[in-house]
Amino acid sequence: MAHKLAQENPNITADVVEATEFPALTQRYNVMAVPKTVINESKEFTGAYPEDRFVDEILQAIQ
Amino acid sequence: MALISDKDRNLLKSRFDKDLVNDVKLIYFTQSESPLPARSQECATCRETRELLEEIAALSDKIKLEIHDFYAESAMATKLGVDKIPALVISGPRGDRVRFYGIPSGYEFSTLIEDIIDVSKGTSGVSQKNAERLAKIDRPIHIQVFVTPT
Repeated sequence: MAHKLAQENPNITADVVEATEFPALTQRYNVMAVPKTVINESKEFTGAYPEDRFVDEILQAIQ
Repeated sequence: MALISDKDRNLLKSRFDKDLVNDVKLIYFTQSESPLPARSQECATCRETRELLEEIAALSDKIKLEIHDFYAESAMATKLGVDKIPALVISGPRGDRVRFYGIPSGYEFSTLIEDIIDVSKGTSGVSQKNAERLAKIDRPIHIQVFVTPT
């Protein structure tokens, strides 16, 4: 989902991060369940959000 | 021993033949595979990820794999915003902002294949309404999605 959104605007970059290979980062964001999404190193949510809601989260993150 | 089975290889090849439009670059950052790693930290999945990407790239002329040494080519990595390895940047007509960090195995493998196709087509499948909402964004958005190998 995030990768699809990144295609829509040059300002958006999307990383898929395999948690077991990057334990420091996983700890930093307290990843307990996946998928966990972090927007601009601050806004977080867990679970696979549908497209509308994912976009809502992005817009809220930059308000 | 191949990572992708012959059957899957054939399926992928026909998928790519049918769906790929533009060339797609797979820009892969890894560490040199000498017996002594460049730094004290070893990248456990770098070699296997490279092998997987080589097998994928072999399935279509439109998929171009570039392998870069993260430490020797750190300027390029920095320019692309790559800060850890293994790192794959999928680059196509609409840019290079789709990344995978870590080996794309299990469920992420099919995500990778879909991403290669989307980037090649220059499409995203995002709804018109959401495409419009996203197009208005005028500042950097960095999304990180943490997953586990299934």
